[in-house]
This record gives sequence, C-alpha cells and structure tokens, in this order.
Amino acid sequence: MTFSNQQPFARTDRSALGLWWWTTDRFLLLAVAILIGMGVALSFGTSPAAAIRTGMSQPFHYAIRQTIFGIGAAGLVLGMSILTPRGARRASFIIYIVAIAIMCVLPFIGHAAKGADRWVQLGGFSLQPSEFMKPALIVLAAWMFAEAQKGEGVPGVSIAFGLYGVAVVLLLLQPDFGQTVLITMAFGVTFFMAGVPLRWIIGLAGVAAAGFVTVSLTFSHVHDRIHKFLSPDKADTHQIDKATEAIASGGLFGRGPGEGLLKRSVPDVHTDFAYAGAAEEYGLVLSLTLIALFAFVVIRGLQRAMKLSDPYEQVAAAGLFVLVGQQVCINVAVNLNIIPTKGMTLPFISYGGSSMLAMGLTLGLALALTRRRPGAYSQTDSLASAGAALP
Amino acid sequence: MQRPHDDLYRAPPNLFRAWRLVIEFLWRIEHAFERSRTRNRPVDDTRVRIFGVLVIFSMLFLFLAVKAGAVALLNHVEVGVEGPTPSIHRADLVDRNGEILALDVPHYGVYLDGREVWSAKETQTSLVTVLPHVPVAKIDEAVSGKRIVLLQSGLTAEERDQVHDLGLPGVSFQEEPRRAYPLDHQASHLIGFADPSGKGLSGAEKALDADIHGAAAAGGHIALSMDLRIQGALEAELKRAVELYGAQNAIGVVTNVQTGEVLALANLPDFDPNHPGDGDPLTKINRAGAYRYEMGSTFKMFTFAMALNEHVARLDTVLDTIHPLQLGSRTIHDSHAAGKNLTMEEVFLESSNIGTARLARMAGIEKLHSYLQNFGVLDRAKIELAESVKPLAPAEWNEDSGVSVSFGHNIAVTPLAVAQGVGGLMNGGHLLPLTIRRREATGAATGPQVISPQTSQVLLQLMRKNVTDGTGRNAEKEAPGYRMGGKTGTAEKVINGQYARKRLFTSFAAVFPTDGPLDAPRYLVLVLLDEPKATAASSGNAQAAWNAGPTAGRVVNRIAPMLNVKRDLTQVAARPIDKPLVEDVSTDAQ
Repeated sequence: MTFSNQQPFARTDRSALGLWWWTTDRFLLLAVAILIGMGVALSFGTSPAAAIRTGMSQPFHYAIRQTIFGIGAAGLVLGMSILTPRGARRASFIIYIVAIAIMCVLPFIGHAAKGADRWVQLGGFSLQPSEFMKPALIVLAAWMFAEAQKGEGVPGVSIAFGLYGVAVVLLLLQPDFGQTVLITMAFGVTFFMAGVPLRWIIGLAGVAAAGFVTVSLTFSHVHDRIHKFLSPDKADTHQIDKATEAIASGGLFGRGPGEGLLKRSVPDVHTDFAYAGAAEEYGLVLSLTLIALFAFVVIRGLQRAMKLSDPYEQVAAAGLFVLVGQQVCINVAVNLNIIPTKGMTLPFISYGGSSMLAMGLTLGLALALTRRRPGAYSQTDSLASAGAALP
Repeated sequence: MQRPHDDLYRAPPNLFRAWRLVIEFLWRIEHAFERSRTRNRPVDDTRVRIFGVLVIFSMLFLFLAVKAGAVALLNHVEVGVEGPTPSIHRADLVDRNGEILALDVPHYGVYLDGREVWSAKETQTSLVTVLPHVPVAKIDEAVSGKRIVLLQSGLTAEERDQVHDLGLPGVSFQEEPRRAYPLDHQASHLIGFADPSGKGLSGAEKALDADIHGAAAAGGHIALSMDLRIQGALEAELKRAVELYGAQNAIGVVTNVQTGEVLALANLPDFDPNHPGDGDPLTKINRAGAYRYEMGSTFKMFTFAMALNEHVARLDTVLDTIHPLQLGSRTIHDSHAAGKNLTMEEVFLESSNIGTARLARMAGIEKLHSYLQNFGVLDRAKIELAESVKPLAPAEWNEDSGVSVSFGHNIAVTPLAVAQGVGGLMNGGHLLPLTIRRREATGAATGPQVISPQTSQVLLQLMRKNVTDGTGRNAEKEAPGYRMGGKTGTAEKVINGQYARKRLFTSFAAVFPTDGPLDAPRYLVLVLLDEPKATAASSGNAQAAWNAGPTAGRVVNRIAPMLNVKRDLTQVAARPIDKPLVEDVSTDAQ
C-alpha cells in the first residue's frame, strides 16, 4: 500500500510527528500549552517590578528569561511526549543519573543562594538539578514496582527505595527540606498506587513521620520553619498576609493589568506568589481559570493513567500527575493563607528556569505514557473489569 | 554441660550473616508486594487506587476554588490605600466670614519595614543621603529588623518625594497632619492649638474637638463666631493700651448681645500656636475665661439691674451717700465723697460705693444673691471653651459679704462671665450663653428672662448717660456718634490675700448702640487692663475712666463700621466736661 498523501498530520501520516499528533491527548496538550503561555504572559506584568528592584538594567530581564524557559519547556513537552513508554524510562534513567551526579558534586561547584547549595550555573542560567530528578525518580520507581510485581526475580521495591534514599540523602545534604517532603509525598503516593498492602502504609507513614521529626530537629532552619508552622501567630507571615490581602483586593475582575501593588511590596511575587499577583491584577476570573486548568490537567491525567493497562505506565503516569498536582495545591494553598509555609513554585506560572523546564519534562513524560497506542488501554473503561480481575 | 567456645564462636560480628538477613528480609518484602497483586483484591488494585487519588485531588481543587472565591469576594481589604483616619484629620477653622484660621498641612512620617528590604546596603546608603538627621545606627537597625520602624516624622511633601523617589522596597509613608495657624499670634487664645496627634489642647481647637474631627470626616469646615476684622481692631487697641498705660495684661471681649456670639476675644501678651512650646507658659492662658478678677464698679450694673427690676428705688430716689456705711467693724466710704446725697442715677454716674451698697441693703442680700445667680455670674460662663472657670464668690451670703459684692468687691469672676451677664441686661433681659461658633439664625434673643424689658431699657439709658455725663466720658470722646453706653470699674488687686493699693485692675463694659428697639443689633465691648500705670497718656490717672474706658471707646470707633452701625453726629454728647472725672475704687475702705 502506498501513501501519496503528503499532508502533515493527516490521519494517514505515519511519521513520528504525525503519529505523535494523533496519539497524544490533545486536550491535555492544549491545557499545558495554555499554562505555559499564561506563565510567560503574566511574567511580563509582574516581573519588571522585581527586575528594577534587583538592579537589572532591563525591566523585562525576568520576563524575557521566562519566555526562553517557556519555549524550552514547550520543547521538552514535545520531545518527551514523543517517546515510547520504554524510551520514557530510559530517558528517566539517564536524567536521574545525571541529576544525582550533579547533586553529588554540588557542594563543590554549587552556586549558593539563600543558605543552600541548590543551583548549578549553566551558561548564564542557574538550574536546580533536584527539580529534574523528581519526575525521573517517579518514573523509575513506578517501573521498579511494576517489575517487582511481575515476580521475575527483580527486587523492585528495594531498588525503588534505594533510588529514593540516595535522592533524599543528597537533598538533605544541600539542605533542601521542601524538595525532600515533595519527593517523599510523590514517592509515597506512587508506592501506594502501585498496590502496596494497606497495612504497610501505616508502617511507612510512621517511618515518614519519624524521619520528619528527626530531620526537623537536626536542621536548624527546618526547625525554625516547623516552629513557625506550628505557631503561626508568632511566625513572620508578612508575605503571606500581603498576598492574601492582594487576592482580596483583586475581587472578581482584579485591579487591572499592571495595577497590582503586591509586586511592589513583596519580593517573591514573580516566583512563590505569582498566583496572588495574578489574582490581584486579573481577579477571581483568572485565578479560577488557573485552578481549573491545573485541575483539568491533573484529573484528566489521572483518569487517563487509570485506564492504562500496563502497571508501569499506569503508576508512572499517575505519579507524574500527582507530582504536578501536589505542587499546585501546596502553592495555591500557601497563597490563600491556608498553610503557612513558602518556597514552593506554581508550575509554569512562577518565574524560574528549573521549575519551568522540569514541569515541561514531567508533563512531557506523562503525555508520552498516556499516549494511545495499540494495547495501551484496556478494551473497556469500567473499573469492575479492570486490571487484575481479568484472567 | 557448658561449652565455653559457644560464646567465643558467636561473639565476633558476622557481617556476612547480617547481610544475608537483610537480603532475606528484603526478599520477603518483595514477595509480599508481589503477592499483593496476585491476590486480586480490589482495594489493592492500581486503578482503584489511582481513582482514589483522583477523587482526593478533585476535592482539593474544588476546595481551593471555593477558598479562592471566598478570599477574593468576601474580604474587603484595600491594599496600599490608607483611608482617611478621622481621629487624626482636623477640619479647617474659619472666622464668620470664611477667613482661614487653622488648617491641616500634611506632613509625613517615613517608615521602614526590614522584612521587605531587598538590598540592605543600597537601602542604608541611599536613605542616609536624603535623611541626614536620622542616625545611621537607627537605619541599620530598621533594615535588619522584623517590623515596621518609624525613621523620621514631620517630613514635608518635598522631603517625602525625595525619599519616595529612591524607589526603595520596604519604605512607606504615613500622613501626619500638622496644624498650621496662618494668623500666627492673632486670636491665639480663641483659636487655641492642637497637638501633632490631632488632639485639640486649647481654645476652639479643644472646645470643638469632636466637631472638628466630624467636619473633617465629612469634608467640611467649622466657622467660628469670631470676625477677623473685629479681632484685629481689638488686638491693635489692646496693644496700644498696653503701650500707653503700661498694663501687664490686657483682655478684650466683643460679643453680639442678641446672639451671644463672641466676635472677638483677645489677651495680651499672646503666643504663637504654631509653636505652642515656646515662650512663657503664662501667655498661653486665656485670661478672659481662666482668670478671675474682682471687677469693681463694673459689677454695679448687676446691683442696679436688681434694684430697678425690684423697684426698690427710682432713678430720682435720693440715697444717703453722705454718711459712711457701717458694716460690722467696717465702714464703706466713697473715695470722692460728693458731700451731698445723690439720686440713684447720680450714684451710677459717679459710681458711688455707698449708694450702691444702700441699694443692695434696700433690696436685701437674698435678692441680690438670687439675681446674681440668674445673671450667671455665680457660675462659670456658659461657652464652649474649656477655659471658663467658676467665680470665687462668698461662701456665705450675709449682710457683710453681700454688700461688698454689690459694688464688685469680695467676688472674683471671669471677664467672660461679666460679658455674658451684662449682655443679658442689654438685650431686653434674656440671659444668653456665649458661643464661639457662628449662629446662623438671627432674630430676637431667646433665653431666660432675668430682668424685665423695661429694666433693660432703663439700664441702656443709664449706660448711655454714664458715657455722656458720668465716668465714661473719656470713652465717648473716642467713639463719637455711636450712641455708646458704658460702665467703668477699678479694683485693687488682691495680692496674697491683701488688697494692693497701687495695683489696680480696671475695666470698661461698653455697649453700642444704646438706642433703637431692645432687639436691635447691639454689641458689647469689654476691656480689662491688669495693673495699668498712671501715665501721661492717662493724664496721670490709673483708673478705668482714663485707660480701659478710652480703649473700649477706640475699639467701638473701629469696629462699629464693620458691624454696620452708622455714626450719628447729632447724638454726640455736646455737654462740656464740667465735673471731675473720678470714680469709686472698689476698695476695702477702713
């Protein structure tokens, strides 16, 4: 059979890109594209104030960089989502090894900022390897859990916990307590979804709690933060209070583009408090749109992951969407003054190269795993007949 | 049987064995995990679990959306925009014609919040350049602090802009309204002053504090009854009196007797309310309301009002003024005994103490007491000003104390109380409270009727006659044609409980015009001089007829045109001054 039709993206286009277009979840793709676009657009409004404050000669210093990162993230989404599930875990393996290697030498080559060695200088940009390590670890862990359950002699659980342990030790050495908690949560949820017996969960939760307390007592700055968390009345919640006030002053339609006052009084508006800055200028309409977009991505992603038939693909995809979802929830909750902590970025919206690119990587991998392929999805979508219930 | 080698055998740590145990344990976990899948229980199924995670996330997002809506719609917080705080801002004070007397001029306090500072170094170095008066250590402390610190207050708008233009994060400004008094010393006691926190401390600023804040919130202003032109004339004439007669203090009050409005109120020396901390603290006291003086003969008006209203005598009734009046151990003399008996009218015109005392005795001290109460001179003058004190009156009203009171002795009252009481006699007999606020409605005076209109009419004529024929002739010379009436008063000051013969307190209560109906426009000018000297300007006399009287006359002459009182030269006293112009000094004659 010959195909004379050379139209790109036609149904009959069997090239890699054509195949990608017809198999990728286009709704998810669209939502991610909108989020990246919004992140870039919003940064043009909020970051000039920060650029001027930090003595940048160019007011759009951060906005232009955010645009570059946005393009990079879009590239990563495309590049990663083209991969096959097998390619995804191979890529994850390489990324994990590189990230861990960089984290090992970070104390020697690292670029210290805000009291922690987390960044590595790369051609004018400073990147945080731990951000890229997170999705890689989730994919590898999901793979290992799946292998373990096949009963083919692969000690998957031990390997997955080994990978996790190495990452956590390196993160605590930086020290980066926030990322440790994020990774632990995502890893735990991944392990849970992989089918760990419920009674183990109780034991693991106890271990995690014990670890949390030990670590919090060991590291003074973590101890301080916990202390603030437990006694918010004494805590320095200045930025969070200001952020909540800003959201309130935004009302339904906002103060108007560029009219926000928060960015002039709070240093982290373009990063940690990007949500509040956006809500102040564009109001509840935009903030609900943002929440809805993220909710759509996470819920549709989990729904797609649920329907996959291969355990590795199921758990890996779901774990990646959990990674995105937990970060959104924590950031928005902080902005709304529900939980008193900070240091978490809002995917795609907050300024930051590592965060933007790592989110591109995460969602690229997730899209790759949820692509429609022959046999990827079970014949029926109903839960009752799903998975293990089949003979 | 014990085998001693067992212990030795087990003692060394067997690393290999430990490793094998760990591996065995791990494999047990691996197999358990593997079995969990093959058991096929729905609760262990990945799909069910992903679905569970999905449900949790759905709820989380829903919660966040609801919370976002609640925060955005249910909180009404204005960020960065400070609403007007009514407790600080004060409304403008204006005179009755709208001339500005006091206003808020915005100043600014500059604050620094160390938590919002981005660059400590930049903040320090640039703040030092524009705020040279702030100690460097204070800036350093504020930069590293965790709270908002006031760096400097009282910045002008220009200075604030300088700091603002540095564009430093963490710097904020708070408006600090400072009160400005463009008139400087003028009317300082009437206007008073407010402290930097916006609290009125004296004068109208204190008396009308609540209303001034209220008017500020409503965006209005407060109009005082004072007329700046009259105030200016009064102050100029008081100043001249101090220069001419060497008085320590001069006090002047001008009122509208039909409304109780205070048109002018002045004390010399005065002060600058813009700098209330400077100068002698005594100059800040409004003596018109806060000091009590024995008025002397000016007080006789009240006794005459009582006597006329009670009909104890007629103006042509002859009173025994030859014989000194025995009061217990004391004897009341007249300082210039006429050597003959005087009619009641002559007693007023010559200001005879004996004659006035006889009137009081004829009516009875009880009557005098109740009339003085009705005239308001036994209580603080009713006026908004906090600077209005109760008089020092005899604790016991008997023949001795009461008779002394009848000629303004043994009772110390405030000038404001006198102005209030005399005003009530001159408007048909209505005692009106004084006010420092402009009255909108004008019309017939309404207030408790303290004397009959007929008595009021007779008193007006008596006052006029005193100026044409009595002790007020020097006043008339200064204000010809304004149909002025008046009464002099000269008292010896009480120093340490003793009357000081050479230290006098003189007063003149002038009312004009005295003609026309009882409810016609009529004004009172009360001038009081503290320790005037016998100077060339007063022809070597120190009594009221020679200083307070002419001063009041000059005030009337200047303000009558402002009050639309026409000069009528047919009403000028044509009579030559044939009698010596002397009056009784209120003194404790032996």
